[in-house]
Amino acid sequence: MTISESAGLITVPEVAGIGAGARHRESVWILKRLGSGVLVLLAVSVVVFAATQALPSDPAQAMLGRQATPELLDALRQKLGLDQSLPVQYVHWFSGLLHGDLGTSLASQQPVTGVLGPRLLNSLALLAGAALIMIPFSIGAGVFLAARRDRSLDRTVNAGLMAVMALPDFVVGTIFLLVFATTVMPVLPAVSLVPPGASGFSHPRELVLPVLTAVTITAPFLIRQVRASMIETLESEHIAQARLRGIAEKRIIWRHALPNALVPLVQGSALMLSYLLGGVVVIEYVFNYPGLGGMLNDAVVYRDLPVLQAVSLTFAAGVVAFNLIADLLTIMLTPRLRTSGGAR
Amino acid sequence: MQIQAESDPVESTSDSDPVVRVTGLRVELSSGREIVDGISFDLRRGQILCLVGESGSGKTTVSTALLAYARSGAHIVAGTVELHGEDILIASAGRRRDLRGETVAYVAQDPNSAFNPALRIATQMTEAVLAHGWDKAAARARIAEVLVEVGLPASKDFIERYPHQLSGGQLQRVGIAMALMLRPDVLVLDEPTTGLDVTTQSRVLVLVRDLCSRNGIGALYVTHDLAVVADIADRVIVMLEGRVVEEATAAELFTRPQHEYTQQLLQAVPDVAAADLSGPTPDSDRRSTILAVEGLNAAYRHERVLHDISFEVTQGECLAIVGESGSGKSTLSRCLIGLHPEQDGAITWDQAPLDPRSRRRSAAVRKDIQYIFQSPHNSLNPRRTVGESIGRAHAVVVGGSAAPRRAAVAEVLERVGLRPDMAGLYPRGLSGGERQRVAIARALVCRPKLLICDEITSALDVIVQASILDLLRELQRADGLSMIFVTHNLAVVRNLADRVMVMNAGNVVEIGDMDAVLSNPSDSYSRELVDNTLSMATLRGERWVASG
Repeated sequence: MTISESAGLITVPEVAGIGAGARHRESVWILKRLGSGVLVLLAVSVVVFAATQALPSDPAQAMLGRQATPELLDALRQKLGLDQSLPVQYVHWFSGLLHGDLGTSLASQQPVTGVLGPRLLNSLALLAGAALIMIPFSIGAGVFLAARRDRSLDRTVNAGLMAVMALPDFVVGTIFLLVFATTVMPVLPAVSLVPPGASGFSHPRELVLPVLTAVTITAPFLIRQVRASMIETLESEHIAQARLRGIAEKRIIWRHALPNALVPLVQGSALMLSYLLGGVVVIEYVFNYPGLGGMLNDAVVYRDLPVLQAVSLTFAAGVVAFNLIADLLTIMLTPRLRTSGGAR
Repeated sequence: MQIQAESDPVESTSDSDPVVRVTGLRVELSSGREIVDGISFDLRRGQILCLVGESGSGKTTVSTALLAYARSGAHIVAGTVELHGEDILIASAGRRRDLRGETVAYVAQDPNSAFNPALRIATQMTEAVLAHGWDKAAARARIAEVLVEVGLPASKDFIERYPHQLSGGQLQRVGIAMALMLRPDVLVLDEPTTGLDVTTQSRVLVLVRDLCSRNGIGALYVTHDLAVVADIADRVIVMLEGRVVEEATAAELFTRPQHEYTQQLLQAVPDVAAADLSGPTPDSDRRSTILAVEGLNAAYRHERVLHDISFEVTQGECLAIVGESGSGKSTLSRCLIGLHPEQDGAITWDQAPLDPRSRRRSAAVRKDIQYIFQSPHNSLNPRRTVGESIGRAHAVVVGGSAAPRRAAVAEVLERVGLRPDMAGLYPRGLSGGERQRVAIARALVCRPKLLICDEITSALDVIVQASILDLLRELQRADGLSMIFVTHNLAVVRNLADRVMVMNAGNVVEIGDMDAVLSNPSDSYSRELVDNTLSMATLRGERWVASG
């Protein structure tokens, strides 16, 4: 007698959503997320526009200086469209934006897109370099520490990571500068002289120190995150069960625990990359690296409203994009979410 | 092909040799405090040895020690665990991994947390055999064999699923199938049916018994449920506070328990087939109806979970609402107390309609209907003393000054069998049973007319459960308190309820006098429920008394 006769065969309910249904729901979910991302950018554009307009300065005055006559100022304001009502100015600016026309830089009198493009590429080069090192390194180090939890090595490294996190960004940059570019072993360029028109991608030597600094600033946070989520996962019931099944420790760590511990890393990486995209003016300042952060800084100093608006929007778009990618990865890493087509 | 699996070095040893011999096992915490000590027993081929005890008695610790495993923070410090004469406790890490799965395999308590949510069923089932050098094709073939053995389909679609795509019952079967992959001689099953409903439980029990007798597997079956023991055990070990207090054959244990604790345990088990002790059924015609429910529907968002529920509760009556998980019984009790506003239909209390929202009900009604939650571990505020928790309820519904309140708290603590000086303790200083008594006291201090008890004994051990049921029975008898007692355990209501209402999938399938429903259910679902509820008395009669 087989068991299916004696105990009754448990019928398996159709699991909807492994096939086409789930794929359909997934694409609907992605479209929804894209839509909400666009709405966020729209809201940001209004805020950015309103905020820059609220700055207590007159771009015409800033451009022409104190000696300008009222007639000249009026003429310039008219030329710039500053005499029109705010909503009209916004609509004008926004429709230009949709056509890829970000206006003309008040400071350099060049189209903003032309100024923004190379700077954006430089920032992306820095970002790509940082991400390529930071993410694998954080996984490796976090797993390594979690597997040696509470041993002296783990405690020492953990304290060291806290110390690095407590260091101000510019100190980290300056230390690298001192060690690798000046007195100790001058092997790398101290200043990132990326010629205008070229991008960071084509100047790897110039990228090394900025990337190293970026990784040092962000990795401790991520390592600690991977360590914490690995420890939590390693303590869960299913890991104990895997050990009781005689699974080797190496496989338990890499195959059983890590996939369940990656989600915090993904979300943390999105946060760190958003931070690196524009927040690290300091890196660009220390190494004189021509990225978006410095550009924003200059725009504020010169009251260059079109550039200010363009850079702010680029940051916002970056944050939205990183988060969207992180959420997509989260779903791909979590079978429960994946098979239900993104329940959130 | 699979070579390791077929070559069994112990085939030559005689059947009377134990496959497992545990001697003088001691496990302690890092602090040096013992969890279990002096544990010795033998397990033979084809034998099912049940390990019985209440929570905290150390039975899970003993069960994992058979695989040389102690939970984090605990250490096996003394004793031997011999598998075919080889002590796994002193084996090397690699040898230990080989023995796990190949000689002794483990089936976990909660199937929902025992599987890795990120890996497919097939991956988890095959990885152990692949590590033992099988090739992929052989592993796949073995999956099909063991799944058929536990009554599951071996289709590609099924094994390629993730754990969350299976039900709890299916997962538990997969867990058992997975344990069989390497044809172990010993199965360790740790409360494998605790999270399952009675119908699935009885299937799993049949399965385990079949597997053991057919394959000559020795099983260590850990449980706190004596009815399960009566159903499945050949031998029984009773544990109390980390020690073995009694070891006997199942027949001996159930017919002539030796140790005082075993006797106590046997007496405390509620039995669905026991004689009715609740006295004459109250004459419901003469009593007035205090609660009437008419055509009640309830939903969670778009999903309807209650369909057209109608029933009445009369003065001084105890109505038991019985059903398996997901039957809607908890939603129903939440509707009654006003915590589930997504409802329509009429609830009448004392001839007046009852608002779906608790906060819109009058103070008098809120005082009259009191609710006790399932888990006493999180229904009491950990930052308030017992006296503050009870006094707060008293202040809200009765009012008055501090002195009579203190008196009322002391009085009600005494009523539920606690000392009045316990008012100064925090919940963390109380046991589970004491906490549940405090929760009952908090409800009673409001002088309610109707008490709604939502699975209030399911988190408690049987002896504690029996004392709580005694208390409720006493309150009902002395005060004429009406009660709605929600439970999944039919046996619990045997001596408590006047009437029983059976729910299934959000519908009332049967309602009637307790005796009628339990001894002669008219609905097929309630009959299934009654039949699948293991009865110690019946099993004892079937297995030992009748034959001996």
